[in-house]
Amino acid sequence: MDEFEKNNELETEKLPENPEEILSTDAAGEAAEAQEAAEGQEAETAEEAEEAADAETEDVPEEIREALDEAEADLDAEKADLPDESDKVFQGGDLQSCEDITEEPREDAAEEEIPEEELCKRCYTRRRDDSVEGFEYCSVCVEEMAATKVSFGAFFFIFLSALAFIAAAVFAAVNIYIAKPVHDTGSLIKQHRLSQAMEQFNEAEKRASELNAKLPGGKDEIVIFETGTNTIKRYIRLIEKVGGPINAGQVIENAENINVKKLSPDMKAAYDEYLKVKETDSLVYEMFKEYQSSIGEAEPDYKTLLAKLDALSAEHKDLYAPLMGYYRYYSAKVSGQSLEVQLAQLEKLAEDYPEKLWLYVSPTLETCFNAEKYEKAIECCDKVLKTNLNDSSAMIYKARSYYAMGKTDEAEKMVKLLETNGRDEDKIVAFKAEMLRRDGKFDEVIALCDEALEKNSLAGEIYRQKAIALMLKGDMEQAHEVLNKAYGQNDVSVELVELLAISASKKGDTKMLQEMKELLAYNGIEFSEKTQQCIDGKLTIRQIFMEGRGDLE
Amino acid sequence: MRILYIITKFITLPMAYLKSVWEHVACVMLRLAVEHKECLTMDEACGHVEHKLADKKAKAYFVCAIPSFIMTLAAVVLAAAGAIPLFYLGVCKGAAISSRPGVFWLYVAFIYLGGSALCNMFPMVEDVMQMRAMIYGKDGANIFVKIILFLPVLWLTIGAYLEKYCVTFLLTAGAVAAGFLL
Repeated sequence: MDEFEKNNELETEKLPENPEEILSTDAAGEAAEAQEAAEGQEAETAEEAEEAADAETEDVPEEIREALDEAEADLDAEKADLPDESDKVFQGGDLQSCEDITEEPREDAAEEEIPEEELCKRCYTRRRDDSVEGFEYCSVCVEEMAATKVSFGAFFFIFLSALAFIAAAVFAAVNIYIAKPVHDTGSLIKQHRLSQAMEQFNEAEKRASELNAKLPGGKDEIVIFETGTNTIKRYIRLIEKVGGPINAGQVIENAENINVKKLSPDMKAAYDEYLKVKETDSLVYEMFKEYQSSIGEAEPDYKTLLAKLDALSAEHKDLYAPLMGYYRYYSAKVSGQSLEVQLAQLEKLAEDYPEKLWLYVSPTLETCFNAEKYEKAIECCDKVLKTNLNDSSAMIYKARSYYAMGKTDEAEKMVKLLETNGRDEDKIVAFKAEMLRRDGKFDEVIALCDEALEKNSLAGEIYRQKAIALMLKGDMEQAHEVLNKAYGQNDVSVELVELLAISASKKGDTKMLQEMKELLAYNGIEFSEKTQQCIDGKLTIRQIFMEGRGDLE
Repeated sequence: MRILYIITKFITLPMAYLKSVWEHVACVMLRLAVEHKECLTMDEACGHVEHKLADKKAKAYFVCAIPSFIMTLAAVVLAAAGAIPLFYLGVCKGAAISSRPGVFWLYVAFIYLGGSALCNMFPMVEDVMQMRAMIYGKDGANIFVKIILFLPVLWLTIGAYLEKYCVTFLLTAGAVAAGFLL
C-alpha cells in the first residue's frame, strides 16, 4: 500500500459510516479529532515525504541540494512569521462573518468619474438609470419620486371641489325636475296635444312653487327656483295656437320679466295683433254701450248695428278687420236674427280670414249644432281637432252631432276618444252623464255625478246633469236643492240659471223665477224659447231633455 | 400656439389645477415617478404634472383615464347646474337679475367652473401616445382589450389633441356666449 492509500485509509477510518452521525455528533469534538488525525497523519507523511525526497535527490548535484535546503529554510522562516492560527479550528457551520471581511481596494483600480451627461438630474451624484432609454434619473431618485406625497393644500382643494360638486349636483337635480315637464311640451306640441302641453307648463310652475315652499320662510319669502323667462315664451307661443293672439297678448302684458321691445318676430306679431284687437274691442264696446243706452230695453236693430259698425270702420281706418267681421255676427245674435243669418256672417268671416280659426270656429260650431246642421258642425270639429287633439268641447260637439244624426257607433267612438285625449275632466263627466241620461239610465247618471262631485265640488255642469236626471225621475224637490247648491258656486252658466228657473216655476217659487230672469237680463240675455215654453207649460221636461237635441238651447 | 395654450390654462385656472391634482393622485396610486409637482409651468405641460412614462399597459391607460373620467363627471354636473337654469329655462333674465342677483351669480359661477372643467378634461398628448403605443403597439394588449378600449382610447386621443390646440376652449367659450346671447 503506498503512502496515498495509507492516508486515505486513515481518513476513511476516521469518518463515520452513517452520514447522520456527522450531523448529530458534536461538531467541535469531531473537528478536534479530525485535526489530531490530520496532524498525526501530517507528521507521518512529512517524515515519509522527507525520506522520499532524500531518496529522490541522492543523485542530484551538491550545489542544487544546497539551494533546495536554503529554500526550505526560507520557507520555514516565513511560516514562523505567520500568526499562530492553530486554535482557530474550522468548525463546520461556523462561517466567518461577512463583517470580518474587509474589502481592500485594489491598488491598481483608478477612481470612476461619471460624466455630467450621465448624472442623475435630481441628485447629481448617481448614474442615470440606463434601463429606460432617455431617462434622466437614477433608480434611487425614481423610487423617491414614486413615493411623492400629495400635499395638504391639494387635498384641501379637492375637498372644496367636492363641496362645489355636491352643491352643483343638487341644483342640477332640482332644475332638471322643474325643466322635465317643460321639455315634454315639445313632443306634445308636435303631436297636436296642446291642452296636455298646457298642463305640463302648469306642472312645471307647480313644482317650482313646491320647492320654494320648502325653503326657510316659505314660498313668499325666498324664491330661488322658477320656470324662467324662456319657459314663459314657450307658453306664450303655445297659448297663441290654442286661444289666438288675445290670450297670448294678455300673458305678454302681465309677464314680469319680458321686455316687449325685445320680443322675437313671431311673438312681436302676436302682441301687435293683440293690441289692435284690444283697441278695436274697446271702440266697438263703447259703440254698443252707447247704442243700448239709447234704445233702453228695446231689442237692438240688426241693420242699425251693421250701419254703426260700418261707420266705425270708416272713421278708424286701422281697426282690426277680422274682429269687425266677428262683431257683425254678434250683432245678428243680439238682435235675435235667425241661426241662418248668424251662420251666414260666420261663413263670410271664415271665407275672408280662414287663418283666424280662434275667432270664428267656436261660434260656428255652436251655431251649426243649434241649427241642426250636424255635418257642418262635424266639419268644424275636425278643423279644431286638427290643431288640438285634446279639445274636449270639439269632441263633445262631434259626439253629440253623431248621436243626433243617429250614428251611435260613431258617437261611442268619439266618447272613447274623449276619455283618452280629453283633458277637461268635468266636461267629460258631464257629457258621459248626458249620454247615459239619453239612454234612460238615470240612476247611473246620479251615481256618476256624485262620484265626480267628490273630486270637484265646484263643477256647475255636473250639478246640472244630476238635477236633470232627478227631474226626469220625478224628484223635483231634490233637483231644486242640487240646483240651489250649484247656484251658490262660482261656476254658474246660462243653462244652469235657465234650469233653475224651470225648477222654480215647477215648484211655484215665483221669487226665484223672477230673480233668474233679472240675472239673465242684466247680462243682456233672455230665456231661450224652450225654457220659456217649459215655464209656460207648453213643453215637458222629458220633451226637452230626452228628445231632439236633448238639452236647452 | 403655446402662449395661447398657457393663456387658456390660466383663464381656466381652478379646474386646470384640479386636473393636475388628480393626475398627481393617479401617479401616486399607480406608483409612477412624479418629476415635478408644479403644474403651472410656462410650457406645453402647463396644467399637467410631469411624470415618468408608464411602463405597463394598465398604468399607461389608467394614468390617462382616471383624471379624465373625474374631470368629465365634474364638467357635466357643473355645466348642467348652470346651463339648465340660465340657458334652457331662462331664469334670472332681464329684470329678474336685479331681484335675485345672488342666484344669478351662483349659476354664473357654475357655468364658469363647468366650462373650465370642459377645457381640462383630457390628458397630455405624450401620455396618450404612450398609452396607444402600450396597448396597440408591437407588444400590445390582447385583441379583446384592444376592442374594449378602442372607444375610450379614441376619445382620449382626440380630446388630448383638441385640448392641446385650444379647440375645446374655443368651443366652450362659443357655447357659453351663445347661451347668454340667445
